[in-house]
Amino acid sequence: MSEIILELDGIKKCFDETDVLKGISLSIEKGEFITFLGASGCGKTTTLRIIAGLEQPDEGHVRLNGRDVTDLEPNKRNVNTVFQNYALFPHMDVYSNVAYGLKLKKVEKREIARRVEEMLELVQLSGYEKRMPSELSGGQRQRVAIARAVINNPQVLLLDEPLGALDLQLRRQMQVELKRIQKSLGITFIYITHDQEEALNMSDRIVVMREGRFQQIGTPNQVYYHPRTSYVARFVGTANIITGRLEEIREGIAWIAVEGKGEICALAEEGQLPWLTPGQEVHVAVRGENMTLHREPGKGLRLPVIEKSFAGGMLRISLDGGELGELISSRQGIDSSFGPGDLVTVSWEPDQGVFVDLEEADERIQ
Amino acid sequence: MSGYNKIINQSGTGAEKKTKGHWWMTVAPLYGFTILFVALPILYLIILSFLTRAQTWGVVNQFTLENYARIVKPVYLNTFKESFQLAILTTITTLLVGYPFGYFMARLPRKQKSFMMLLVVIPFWTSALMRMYGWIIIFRSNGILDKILMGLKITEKPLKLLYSYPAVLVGMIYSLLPFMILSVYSSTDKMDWSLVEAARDLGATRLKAFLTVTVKMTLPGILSGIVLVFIPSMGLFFIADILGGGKVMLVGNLIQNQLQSGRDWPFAAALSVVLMIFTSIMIWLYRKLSGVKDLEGLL
Repeated sequence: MSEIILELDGIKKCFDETDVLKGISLSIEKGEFITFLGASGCGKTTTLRIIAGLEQPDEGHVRLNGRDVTDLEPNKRNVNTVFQNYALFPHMDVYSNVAYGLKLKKVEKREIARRVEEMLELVQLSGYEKRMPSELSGGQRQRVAIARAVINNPQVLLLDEPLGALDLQLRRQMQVELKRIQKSLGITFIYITHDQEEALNMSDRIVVMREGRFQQIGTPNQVYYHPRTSYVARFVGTANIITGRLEEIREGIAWIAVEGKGEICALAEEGQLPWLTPGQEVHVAVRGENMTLHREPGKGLRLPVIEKSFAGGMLRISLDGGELGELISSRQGIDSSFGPGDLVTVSWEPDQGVFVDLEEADERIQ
Repeated sequence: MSGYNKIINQSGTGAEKKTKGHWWMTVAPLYGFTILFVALPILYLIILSFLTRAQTWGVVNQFTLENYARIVKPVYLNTFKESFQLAILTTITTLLVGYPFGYFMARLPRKQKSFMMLLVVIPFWTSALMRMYGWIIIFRSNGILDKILMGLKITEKPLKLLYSYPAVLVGMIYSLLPFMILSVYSSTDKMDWSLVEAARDLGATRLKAFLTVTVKMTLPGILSGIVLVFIPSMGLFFIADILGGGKVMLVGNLIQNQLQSGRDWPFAAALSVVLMIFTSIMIWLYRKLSGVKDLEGLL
């Protein structure tokens, strides 16, 4: 499984004097499901288009299966794309759309018919051969777009927010389906989304992008539980970021003083130690669901409650953190004895606090 | 509850009555205009084509099919054939020149696009007749074209281009090219370029993607351009008059001659009706082939 299929090496791209990609490098393994996650305008679509050959990088190289394809035209790369708006040919029926790639390769007619049938079965659209794209629902068009790309047996399949236009229920269903298709074909998927849930659900690895750079590359687990930067912590699963001064590290646990509010703890990983010196300013990310609230004073932050609200089976309690901004604690259930104005102590287990924005984060990624 | 419903119902029918009573006021002018200026003249033309020519001036109310029978005579049939040939030649040339023009115009950056559009439209601001006389200055013996060609030693003596078939052809192409350009431009401008990218991504070369996707997507523009060029080129008599010097006779010229010099109104009407049927067939074909109800670009 550790065969490298696609390599990005120092890709830079500039549009109208705006740096869209500021030198990104990445190796993708065969059969991997990798997701580029980021807000719109972070450069994820441009990255995809460069891999597909629809855009030329200003600097850097794209290597497919060890071969430099940077200057190769899109039709000469064994890479296919599922476009954001599907881009189905409106003047061709489903069969001709799916068969398009094979026809160009001059595959024998009977072989084309066999493979189209097989593909339509895979995407559960058997019997739709004669339909025109305009006669299909959004989800069906999506499936045709996938079949049209996958039938060419690409080494890498690129998917540009393929589920963006679908409603929530259909989106969940298609997530499962895409994962199934990927597993059954063993094709490398490069998937673009701005939906963190989608990314966490489907990916083997997630690449979090921001302003033309990679913020973090890791498994969903790593990205969720060990965000390297405050941006990742906030973007993936909305975490609270607390700034304080590092006091000391005892037995792998760091203690941080937050002026006028109290003292908090965080896990100091072995690899992070060189970047942690007592007295320096540090940022700690904590997820709302990991916070515990007490009425009595104790170790932790002493903060007043602003309000509580109930949504999606979770009770959210907003706390006034002063310069820290608003902190949000969440927990299951609806009962809580705290109300607006109450002063509470917020604390968490040491391993729930994660250092973010340390210098080493950048070095590790680049 | 029922009283409440009643009130709603009453007010509902009241509003309906109001719109029902006055709907025709908005549509009437439209229908009135169409009947007065389109339907009635055509009807008059058709009736006229079945009447007999008077000895001196005007028409006699006597039904005849003679006018239509005359069209089949070789002299007139030949005019139709020649017109048809010239129209086809004009259409093909404008398509070959106009398609790339309109296509690349649509792909220009926005500012340059509107500038090009201006250049294409500017000729419409002057009378077409005046512009034809301009061509005389270029084409005549020892005119601008001859001077340039002889100056460059490409030709030795004047080409005598004026009053010839090629001159009429150039005049036709010149006057009708903008229609083709604008039609192609309009459909190219609307194109979803991700379709071409999808084709390229699926393994199509630039040419193949153009042929299988771009041409198909701009087909309504091509067809509408063909209709907009072909139909007028059958009837633009003044171009053949001015640049052909009477040597080139088109259906348009024939109708004009019959109407003015020949004073045979019924025959001119019959010729017009045949031309109109011809045109209708073209438009019907266009609708059939493109699946679009309106003409792309201009109508």
